[in-house]
Amino acid sequence: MEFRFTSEEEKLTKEVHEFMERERTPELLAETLELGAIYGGPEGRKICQKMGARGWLCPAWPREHGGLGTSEMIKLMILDDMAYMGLPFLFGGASMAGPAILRHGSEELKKEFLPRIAQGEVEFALGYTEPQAGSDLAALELRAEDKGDYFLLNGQKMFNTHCHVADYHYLAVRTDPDAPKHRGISMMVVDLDSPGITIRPLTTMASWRTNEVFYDDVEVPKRNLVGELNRGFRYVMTALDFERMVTIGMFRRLFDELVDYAKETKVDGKALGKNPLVRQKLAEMAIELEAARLLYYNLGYVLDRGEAATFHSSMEKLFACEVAQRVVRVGMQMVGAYGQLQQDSKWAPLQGELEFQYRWSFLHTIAGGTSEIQRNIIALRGLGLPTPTA
Amino acid sequence: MDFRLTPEQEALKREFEEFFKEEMKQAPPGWTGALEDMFSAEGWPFHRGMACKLAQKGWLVRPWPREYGGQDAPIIEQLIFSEMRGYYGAAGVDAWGIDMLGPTVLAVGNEEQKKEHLPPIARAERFWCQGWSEPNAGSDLASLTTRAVRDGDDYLINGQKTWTSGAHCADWMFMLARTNPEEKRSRGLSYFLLDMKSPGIEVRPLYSMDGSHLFNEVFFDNVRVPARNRVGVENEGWAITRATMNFERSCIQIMAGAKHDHEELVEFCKETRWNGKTLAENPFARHRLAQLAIEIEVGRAMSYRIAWLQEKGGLIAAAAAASAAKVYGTELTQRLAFASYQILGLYGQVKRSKWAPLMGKFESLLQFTPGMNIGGGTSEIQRNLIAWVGLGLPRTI
Amino acid sequence: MNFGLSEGQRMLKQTARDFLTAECPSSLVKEMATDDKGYSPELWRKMAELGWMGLAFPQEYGGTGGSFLDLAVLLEEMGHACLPGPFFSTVVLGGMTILELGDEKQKRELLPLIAKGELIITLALTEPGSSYSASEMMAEAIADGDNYIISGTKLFVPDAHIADYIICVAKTAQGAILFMVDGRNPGISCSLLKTIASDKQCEVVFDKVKVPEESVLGDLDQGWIQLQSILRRAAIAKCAEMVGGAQQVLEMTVDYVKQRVQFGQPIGAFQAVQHHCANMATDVETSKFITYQAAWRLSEGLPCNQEVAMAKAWVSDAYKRVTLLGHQCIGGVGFMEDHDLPLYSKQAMGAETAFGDADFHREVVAQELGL
Repeated sequence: MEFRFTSEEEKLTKEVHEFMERERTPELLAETLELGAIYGGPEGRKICQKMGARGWLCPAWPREHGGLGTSEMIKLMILDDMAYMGLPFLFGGASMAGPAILRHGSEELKKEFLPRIAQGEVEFALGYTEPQAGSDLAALELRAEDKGDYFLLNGQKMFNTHCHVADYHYLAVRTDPDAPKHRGISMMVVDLDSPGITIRPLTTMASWRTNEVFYDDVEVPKRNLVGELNRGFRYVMTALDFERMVTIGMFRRLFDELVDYAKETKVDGKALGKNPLVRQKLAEMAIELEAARLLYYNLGYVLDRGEAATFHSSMEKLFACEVAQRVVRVGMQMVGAYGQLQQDSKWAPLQGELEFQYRWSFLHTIAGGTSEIQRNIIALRGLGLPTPTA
Repeated sequence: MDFRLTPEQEALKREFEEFFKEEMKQAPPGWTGALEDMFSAEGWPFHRGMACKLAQKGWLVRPWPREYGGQDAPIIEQLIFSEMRGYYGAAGVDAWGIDMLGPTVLAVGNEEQKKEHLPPIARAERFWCQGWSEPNAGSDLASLTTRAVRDGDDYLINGQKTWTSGAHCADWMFMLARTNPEEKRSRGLSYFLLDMKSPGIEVRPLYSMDGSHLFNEVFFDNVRVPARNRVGVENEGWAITRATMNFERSCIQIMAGAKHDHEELVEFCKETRWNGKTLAENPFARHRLAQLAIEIEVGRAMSYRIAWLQEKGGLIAAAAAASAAKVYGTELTQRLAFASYQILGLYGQVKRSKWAPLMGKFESLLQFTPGMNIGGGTSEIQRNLIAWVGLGLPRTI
Repeated sequence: MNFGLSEGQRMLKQTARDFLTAECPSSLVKEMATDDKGYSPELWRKMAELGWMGLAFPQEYGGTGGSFLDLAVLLEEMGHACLPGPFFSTVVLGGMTILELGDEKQKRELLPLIAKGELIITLALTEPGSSYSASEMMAEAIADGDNYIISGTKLFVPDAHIADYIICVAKTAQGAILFMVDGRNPGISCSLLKTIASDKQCEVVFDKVKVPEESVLGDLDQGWIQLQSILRRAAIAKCAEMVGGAQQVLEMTVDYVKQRVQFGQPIGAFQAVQHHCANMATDVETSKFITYQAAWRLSEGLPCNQEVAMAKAWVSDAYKRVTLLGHQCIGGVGFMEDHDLPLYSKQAMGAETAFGDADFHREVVAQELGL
């Protein structure tokens, strides 16, 4: 057992950290929050392309694909630190579509996309969810008809958050409507500039944008199929394991700010941090954040041993997201009435971040697989419990 | 809305309170009001004695019609009675006979059965236990398999019941048995009344995790039950169990018991010094005690609302609310037990003895609360019922 | 970061698991609950033969030279089996304290005997009016020539009634001092407290107990600092036991819900039950990591005030949650005296308040945060 990082890991992540300190501009921070931390805005692309040029976006990939051949642990460390620094990017390409293409894509597809993903030049939006296919993802219906040398796509996606800033859609489609629902799904890469795609904005309660996406007779070349036809569901599940490796870095930083706030703010003549109940709540959050951090880095340990993360990442996501919500709630309780003030108010504590985070917090236990689904996965895959019979 | 009792109801409440407060001073040492206290060697005679006193006052079966010794007491009066009883952890009321068997026989029993079984309960002469659960029929009660086969003017009963509270003390048992083996679930069940002295009945104790004796297994080996002791129509026993719905089911006793324990804990905290300060000055204790006080009042409000719903005839809403009150009450009691443990610190773990605060009552409570969240319908089943009955959500089982 | 056990630790764990499954069945645990001594001398002897008592003592003192982390792995297995007896008192409270604070003579004299299983030792700290508070301690040691006279009442002292030595913490003019007191001194009277976990905690009254100067353990003027170190070690060792217990409750629950059939299928197929189990698994996993991080740091000699406090606070609550959910899933049978689950829910209650409860340790964390 070893609860510290190697000197190699520390060295590289220190380099990345110092780079980010230098390069993160107020514009970048503002853009990141405004977009809800998805990658693809102009400021975001600038910094990530610089990181990509140094191999830092996909460090665990082999050099031939733009990586540095490091451990998965290093990738997790970098993402964790980025989140702490106010750049909690969710990389549709580097973290989800990219690994899928790496594992299952044709040589042609790998050549076309992997280097550009690793260098941060292109971003992918996930195309899974539909109005009638949320937790029950296998119920998706967007149809891809085989037309000889291309697929013809028709249907609708929902809550596809990256689409308005991304270049490509990593799309889950139904290629065999007669097979049992899990077995008729394929994955495709679709250029979001293709004719027939309409992207319509939806505004979330956190004020950032997600989208409905409509496909009307969209043609997708055959070579854009990822992996085997009708095996797509399995690839999605793997990608989901990765999507669920969420860093709690953003909330560790929020917590550190709350601790500072408690030390500096006086209520009724006494520092807030001297209030016994405040002390207990902050201590509780410190402990939960630490427990979450350990679950997160355990994922690196599991992946670097060559094991699949499955229920480990479900457990980590479940725990981290619920801790995140609690941190925000504790923050709101601590600052009292001030918590409701928005960013542009001079009276807003922590630059109004608490209010924003609170509105965002409801999504954490829903997106990327609800907490209920994660618990199901832990039970079924982690503990071997039976599935219900009708 | 009006959250007040009428002057008559207030007067009644005071009457009940004085009685229970006075009588409970004679409770055997260590009495906490938990069910197992009633069935212990010292507890059972005390319980019977109090039942006689209640019978003499005409209070034992107040909810019943006057014809059978009751006073046709409205639901709100039943609630007030239960609240005082719960607050003082009082003995004397055989809930199984009075609140379950009695109302069932009143609703669907024939004249002969009413004449035979109701008066002895009203006179505190006959005490009952309930034969429901079986080893393979817990939450899935309807799948029970104890068999009742018609034999001339009788039935022969074979099988086994479990979790039978007080079977080792009770005089009679009401139970469900399967009369139609073709039907595997509720449609093949009938409702029977058995004299516990019948040949072929064997009671074996089950000891709870704190060593106390409340539950039993009951074995039936060709037990002969006269057909006149079958209540209602053959194979319609399951439906009959719902006849108790019209009677008070607010779970106020749980809330009132919690209120009493909470008050004791608050007093203790005010008087006890630890690490140089009274426990009541400890900010965590204050916070927890305050939170519990709030939750107890919420619980009482829930119970009162159930009584009000029942009076208005909203039985379905009352049914869902009763499930909610049960689950709320038992989980609240558990929170109370754990909060007391946190407040009492190291002392919380000491059993009744010189070093145990409050006579080890909270240590006992701690060990009883897991059972509360399971018995009488688990918290999970109650939540299912709230969802199905109260919210109309679809049933999958 | 490496979250795995070394080869040696894996072997130790497996050996311990196999040994305790065979030698410490739940029937023994239940028997010991009402047994006055609270342990089986036969089992104790076998454990000594396996080298368990001396696991973390250097070889020069009769041990096998293992680390504190190794001891934590062993303690986890002991918690898994709900092992009754004075191992924790003797090794964690006694042996490790002597190892850290004893002078050469004390170490050479006592550690080999502990390693051979020939001594039972415990620590008497808590008092009726105080837990770990310096200012409220009443037990006194008055200097008298070459001796000290100790008087006072200690509470919640595990295994004092069978201990050969009791390490007593008493106040002197200089502050708190630790004394190795012969357990058979006539001025000492022990009575067993009846506790929820039946874990043989005692009231110990010291009535003018005379002890020679040589019985002082550690530095005369470092009492409270030394005590903090002992408590840290004890707290994290207790966490290791609790992790093992929680793991067993999870295993027991999963096994049960897979085979208990109601409504035509195993209840483990119902979402409510699955979610309870998932919550239990998450509590077990986080408890494991947070405990081992602290144990590792302590083992490596790294500062670990915050990590130990975090672990004890977290695991105190988590183990309790696991047992409650275990009860919900296992239902009526789990409430019965003869079921194994109550052994663990009671163990959880006892462990929760040992060496500082969650509130206490959260306050330590608050202090470490600089609040």
